[in-house]
Amino acid sequence: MQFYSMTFMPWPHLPEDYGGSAWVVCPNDNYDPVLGTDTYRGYLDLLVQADELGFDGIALNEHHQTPYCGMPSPNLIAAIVARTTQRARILVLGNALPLYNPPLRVAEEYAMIDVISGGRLEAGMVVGDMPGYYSYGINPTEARARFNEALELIRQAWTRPGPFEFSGEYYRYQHVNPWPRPVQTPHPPIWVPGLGSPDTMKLCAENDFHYVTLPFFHRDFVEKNYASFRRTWLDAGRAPDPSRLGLLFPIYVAETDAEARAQFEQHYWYFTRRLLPGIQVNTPGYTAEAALLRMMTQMDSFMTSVTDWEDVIAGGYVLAGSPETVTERLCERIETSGAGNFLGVFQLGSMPYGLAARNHELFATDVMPKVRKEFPNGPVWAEATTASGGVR
Amino acid sequence: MRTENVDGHRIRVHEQGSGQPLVYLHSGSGEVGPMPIFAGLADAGFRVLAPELPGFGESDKAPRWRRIEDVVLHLRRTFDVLELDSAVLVGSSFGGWLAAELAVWFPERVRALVLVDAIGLRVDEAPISDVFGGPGSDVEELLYRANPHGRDMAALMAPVYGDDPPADLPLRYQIRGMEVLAKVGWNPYMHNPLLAERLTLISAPTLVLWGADDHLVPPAHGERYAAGIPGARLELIPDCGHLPAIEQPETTASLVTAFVAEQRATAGIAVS
Repeated sequence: MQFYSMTFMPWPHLPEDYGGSAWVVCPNDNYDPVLGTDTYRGYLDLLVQADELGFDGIALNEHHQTPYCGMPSPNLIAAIVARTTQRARILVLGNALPLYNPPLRVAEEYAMIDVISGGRLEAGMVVGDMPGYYSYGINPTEARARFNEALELIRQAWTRPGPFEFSGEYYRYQHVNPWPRPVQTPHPPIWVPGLGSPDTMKLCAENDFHYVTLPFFHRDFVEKNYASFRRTWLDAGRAPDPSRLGLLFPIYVAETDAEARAQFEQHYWYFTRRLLPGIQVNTPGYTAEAALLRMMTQMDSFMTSVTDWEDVIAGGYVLAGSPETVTERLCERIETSGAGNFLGVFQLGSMPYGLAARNHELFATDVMPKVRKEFPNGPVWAEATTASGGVR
Repeated sequence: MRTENVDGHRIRVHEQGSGQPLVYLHSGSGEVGPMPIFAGLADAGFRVLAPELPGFGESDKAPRWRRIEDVVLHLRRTFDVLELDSAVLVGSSFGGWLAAELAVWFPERVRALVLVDAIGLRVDEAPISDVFGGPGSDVEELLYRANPHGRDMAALMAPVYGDDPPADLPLRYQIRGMEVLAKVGWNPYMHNPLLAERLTLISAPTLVLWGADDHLVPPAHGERYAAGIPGARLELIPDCGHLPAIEQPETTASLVTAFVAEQRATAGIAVS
């Protein structure tokens, strides 16, 4: 099992009386740059702490023009931790390729991070959140095609001796020859997050990429995605491989279940009630017609629709409780998903530094070792134990 | 409706009436089928041809389209497939933009031009409302802007969906249509920055019709079209929002008919 501490670096100081969209149009006078300095430093310290506590990696994301996430440029943060951490892998679940022009910039910056960190980069390649297309003016109907082409360009830039010419439908360069090149060969591991699109799963299965699904829906929805992924992976002729699957959700550990709820609940509600509104947009052409119809009919399972704490816990939107409770439930989720990587969000919403740091500590000392012991070789995929899935 | 094949794209075409050919280019709502506007025009002596653009309704997608010119070339090929040398061209909203572009690029195919609440231009002081539903957008406000008189658009659009349609058909058509609009109208938003200066290339007699109460694409856009197209005239339709052909089909059909008759009398448009 590999354990990552993931951060969104949210803005924790939205005024009480602001009830509008947190995405794209949230007036930016709600941002206080002076408070921002301390906020960034606290989040950066948490990442160093995760490294020191023995997490296998830290994970970052990317969003634009929103208090939901303080990393419009995750690569800046990755560059800092490349130098301030020693051992942890650096997983950037960002670099929304269609939003970078030229996408060669991604090949360059990722290579810099990989070199500076001594080969610790895990390179996320992302289509980008839907609101980003309203922020950047990039045409969402071209999102998939641009993503595929940019990804191909970046892989070539990392693996093909330069200089060479690249001529695509969206991106054309006479001279592709990035300097520096990444340390890891043939290139840093690639991660692609998805919300259930079969195309994304196929892309990962065919190319040996890592897949992670986002936790905004009920665990039934999330687990269906994992089941589809495992099927897709095996159908591509590959052996079961939990190391290629990531399980991602917010997690909070305290001394007891009651304490966990008392300390964590308000920060969870800040996340769903203040930071999520506005994210649900049906951007034309971003998602296939059938998938969009399906998603629009499943919105009652979306995080913001769940208003009762018991339902939050039962629906698996977060894990919160004593070390014993969290260990047991996490093991069960790992077992069910078949994921060999856990990406925990240890600071959520308005949670202050002190609580997040304590959460880190308790997890690292009282949960992580037990879960490692439970899965010395990662979880076993359900399909691998059935007759038809006897790939091993 | 029949199906035609235009350069590998199967599209549906609604045809009604006989007489002078009139091509109707639908709005983003995708109004093709037995709509009252077509009956009104057919009764007035037009042979109405209403093609359904690729990506709308049941027509094939055109995945490689990137900009408005791609649609214009498709339309020119549609004229060829329909064996139309030229026609009276009426376009509503998105269809109005296409009609104006077609009249710029292929003036010989357009006998007379009627733009109805057409998008396609940028008017700084009266921008077109955002229909792509970005974060924080207000659906109620948007519906009001398009349809301030609160007409029952679902009922008015019913002929498009046929008898006993599946419940999600209107939503499915809407999702498909929005994707086409976004393909060519995401950025620059719903306009072609070069169109305004090209309007002088339009040689067809032109009528610009506008719902007087269209707050989605305000009448200032109609004024801009009428000022830019040589000899064009703007006429406002009272008590009407963004989609006169759907909201007030009889009035719209009779205004089109009267305009073509007037041109026939004064400018000698041939009845073919």
